[in-house]
Amino acid sequence: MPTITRTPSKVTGGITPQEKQLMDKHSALWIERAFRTTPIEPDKIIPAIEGLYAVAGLKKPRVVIVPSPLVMAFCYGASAAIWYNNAATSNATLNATRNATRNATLNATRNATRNATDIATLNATENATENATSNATHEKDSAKACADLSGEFGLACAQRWTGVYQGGNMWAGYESYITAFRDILGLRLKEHVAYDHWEQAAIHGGFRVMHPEFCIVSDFPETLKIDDQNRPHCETGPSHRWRDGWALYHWHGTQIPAEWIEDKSSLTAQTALAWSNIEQRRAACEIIGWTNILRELEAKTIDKDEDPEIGELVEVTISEIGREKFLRVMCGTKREFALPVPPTMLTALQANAWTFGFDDVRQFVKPEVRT
Amino acid sequence: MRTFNNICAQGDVYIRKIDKMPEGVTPVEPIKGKVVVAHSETGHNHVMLAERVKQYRLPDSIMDIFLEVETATALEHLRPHDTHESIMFEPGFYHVRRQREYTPEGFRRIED
Repeated sequence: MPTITRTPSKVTGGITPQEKQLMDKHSALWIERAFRTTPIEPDKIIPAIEGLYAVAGLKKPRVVIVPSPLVMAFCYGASAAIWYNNAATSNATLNATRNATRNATLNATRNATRNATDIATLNATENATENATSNATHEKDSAKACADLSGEFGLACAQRWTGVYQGGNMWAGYESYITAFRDILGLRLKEHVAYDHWEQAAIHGGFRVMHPEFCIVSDFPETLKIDDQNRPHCETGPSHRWRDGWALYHWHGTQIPAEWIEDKSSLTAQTALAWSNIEQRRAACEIIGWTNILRELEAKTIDKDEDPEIGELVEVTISEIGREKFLRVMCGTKREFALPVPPTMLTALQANAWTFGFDDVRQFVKPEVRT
Repeated sequence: MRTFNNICAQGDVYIRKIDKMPEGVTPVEPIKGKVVVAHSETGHNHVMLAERVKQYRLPDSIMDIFLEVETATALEHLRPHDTHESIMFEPGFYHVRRQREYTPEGFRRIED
């Protein structure tokens, strides 16, 4: 049994049952923060961001709050492009152009926000089919606002938003871990002073992009639906919806197209099995239900291995294509997948071996460990 | 953390211990300190620590890679949910096969 050490500069040796209880409460607090749906509060997030820049030795930035990560990405693209072009033109004119750029930054936000908000308002009166296309409309309008302000260069900058973003409350797992050492185990490091601003930004803001001149912070979503394992999930609507109407759809943690939920008739068994992304294909099969898929496609079992991780070889009828074979198999996480395999496959083992590159099943050896 | 002697699988990768590195392999540069054993479109990569592992590939194959594990280390799956459990690798050489699926044109590497 390792010795438990608790000093302000060193924490080792595992945790006590009492500390475990406190940590459970602590993680519940951060999970609640990660799932926040109440509106962002400017008087709390702006000082946190300014403090973050200050401890990093950067000048005070303009802090712009936007309604969603989508608007954030396109506003970032437009603003970064404008600032870059200004610097390239002449550093001497930087001061003179600051005001103009600030306006452009605000306009980028306003345009994208107004467009997105208008659409969100319209959506309320639209029918289910039109709602299903709202994501594409939002993205198109936000992209247009960005392009109007900064052209192709701005759009190219927007595409690179992941290089300069920080997760805010959506990175709550890291913050829970770091603050548990401080708040429960008593670790007190000098770095905690600077970290305090980062922590406040994680409590009071969503995604953000950081630029030497400005920081754009997203509001929290107004809707956030999850399953019993805290994965984003909703069977009847978006898993995430921000106040400008932009939304994301998830099935037990896997992002899926909006129409699979909003217009369920658009998702057929054939669409599901032909989908190229295997995780989304699995989600599609779960949404439709395996029983329905097998019935709809007149499935016939060719061979079923006693090991579910080797799987079941089935043959189905795909309209306009004919009979196709699939390996229905369980992975190490106990989820079920469907993999198309060649029509020459005769057993589930042969099909499973083929998927891992063994054209001759006799050369295939089952893994000792599969996770 | 799981361990193995000769053959293991983690998600869509199948790994077999081999005696030596094959001829003609070329090194693959790590990304941000990680060897990406299997790339995922959605960022849920299968990775190892670059300071402990060297990665190689055959010039004409997108389905096979090779690992030289210098110090024992784990293959980890970067996904916060439905995570494939980590597997510990002892020092040695390994052949990694990516999983594939049938298409009318032949086959393609599985995407997730």
